Amino acid sequence: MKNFDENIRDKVFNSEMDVSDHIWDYIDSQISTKNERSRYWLFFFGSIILLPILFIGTYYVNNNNLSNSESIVVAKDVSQDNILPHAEIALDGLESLIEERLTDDLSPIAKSNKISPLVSQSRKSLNLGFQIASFRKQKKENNNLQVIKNNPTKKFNAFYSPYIAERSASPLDLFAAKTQCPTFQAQGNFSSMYTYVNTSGYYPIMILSSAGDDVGDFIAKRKNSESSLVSFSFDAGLGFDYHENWFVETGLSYNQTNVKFYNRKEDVIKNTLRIVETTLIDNISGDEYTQIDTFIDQEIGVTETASLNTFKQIDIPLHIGYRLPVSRVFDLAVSAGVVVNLKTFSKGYIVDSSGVPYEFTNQANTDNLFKTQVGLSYTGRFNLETEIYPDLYLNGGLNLRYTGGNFNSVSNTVNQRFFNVGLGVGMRYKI
Amino acid sequence: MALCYRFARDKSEAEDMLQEGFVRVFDKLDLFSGEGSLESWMRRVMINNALKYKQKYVTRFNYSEIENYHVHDPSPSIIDELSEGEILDVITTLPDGYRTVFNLYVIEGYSHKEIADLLNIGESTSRSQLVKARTLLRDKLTKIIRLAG
Repeated sequence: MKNFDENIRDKVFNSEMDVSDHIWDYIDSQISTKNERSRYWLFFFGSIILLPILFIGTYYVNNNNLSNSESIVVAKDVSQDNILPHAEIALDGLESLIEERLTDDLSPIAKSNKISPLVSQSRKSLNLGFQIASFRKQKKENNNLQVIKNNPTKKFNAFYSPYIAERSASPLDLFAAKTQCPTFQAQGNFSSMYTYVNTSGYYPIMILSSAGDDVGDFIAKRKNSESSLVSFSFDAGLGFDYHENWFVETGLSYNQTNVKFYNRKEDVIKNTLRIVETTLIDNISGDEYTQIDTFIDQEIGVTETASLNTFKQIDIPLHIGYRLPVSRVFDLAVSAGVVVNLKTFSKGYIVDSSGVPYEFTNQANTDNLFKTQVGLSYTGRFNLETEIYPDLYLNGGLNLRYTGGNFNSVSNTVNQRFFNVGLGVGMRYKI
Repeated sequence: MALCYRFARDKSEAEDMLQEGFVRVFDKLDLFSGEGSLESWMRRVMINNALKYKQKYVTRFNYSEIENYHVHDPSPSIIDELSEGEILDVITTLPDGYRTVFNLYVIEGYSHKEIADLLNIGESTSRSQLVKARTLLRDKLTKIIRLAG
């Protein structure tokens, strides 16, 4: 046996083969791309480190400014000489209102803001002072503006915008409960904007159905050879608090659905013909007979084909939701939305109708079993949320997603969809 | 390229392995400690990459256990009569599992324990696959000689 092994080894150990010329170009491009990629990763991780520093820095800068009592004094100085009578009233009562607000129960928005009350009120008070001055200027220049109401109530919004003016209608009025002085409008409706990141681990339930033809057997073969694996998604973007507890979110998301493919197939890899010759002697006559039996010994090989099938999707999500305070600490954020698929990358193995494993990818021209764009998906989220740091919220809960469009192309006779059930965690930071 | 070809099912798969292997070599070059020759280090990287390629892109072979396998001592002259290209082509036609174990043990000089660790199989499985690979390879080589003769 050693001779056989050594002979083979001597023959092929140092053997050489020519390779196609394009291989070296490809390797060259890959190495260049690797270098590029490392720069992207550097940028990515740099961003991850820098962004929190930026946010924290911004918070401290804001915090220092807002907690400076001189800010309120400045507001008074600015508006003292030329303020409208209503504004004077508002300013005179400013300090007592602040004290009142500090002791009163906060409105839902104040609760959701969960900023230190003193800091929050100080910032808004400063804002009020400047806005009053600004409003007066606008009133002089624009006759459409007219003071109709001075309504300092205990509602948080009203406290910030005691002056409500009439003006010409604008598209922004769609978002306004009442037409207000423009400088107050943004605060009254989109009270704040935030960035968010979410990641989710989920279990995809694969739904296979016939695309018209009777392919029940084919579907059964696919179900036998494919099983869902834990998958994940990651999304980030911007959110806007709308009115009091409503919010909308949009951004970019990456979703990877994993499916395990496993197929076992038995094949005859070797047939050996065995002939057994038996001599029989007749004890009575003494005649000899020869009996020949033939046997075929089969060596069975088992081919196991296993693959991680992936369906990678890059999407734009659009969610609308409502935050419901459920305790002093937690809000329940319920949201629903649509996800627009930009691009889908599919790769893996499936069996063909005869049960033979078949490699697919929607990025090659060799086959087009799966689409590169799936269309719309629908999502729902039920997250508990709590503030872990001023303006920084941690949330987590149940995530659902149903792919409305089929992953398969027209040429694929089996419709394939996914219903994802998972758990997600995320953070958002008010900016 | 010949090394990759021995682990691959065909030339195009070997070229894919070669591409990925070289990219990996350049990527990991800073990990080369200088102990031993660069060639054998690159060889190891290429082999590991080839095995990963097989795991990643699929086909794995297992075999039914057939006991009492009789292996005849092959004649060295069979091998001498064939060119290295012909032998490589025949090795490539072996089933994946046979080919992988045969390459690692006979040609690359790995022990059964190392093979078992690399492929996540038992040492006895490695041994039995090697025996079967030898037999199948010998049969195929003999058949080629007969056809040519």
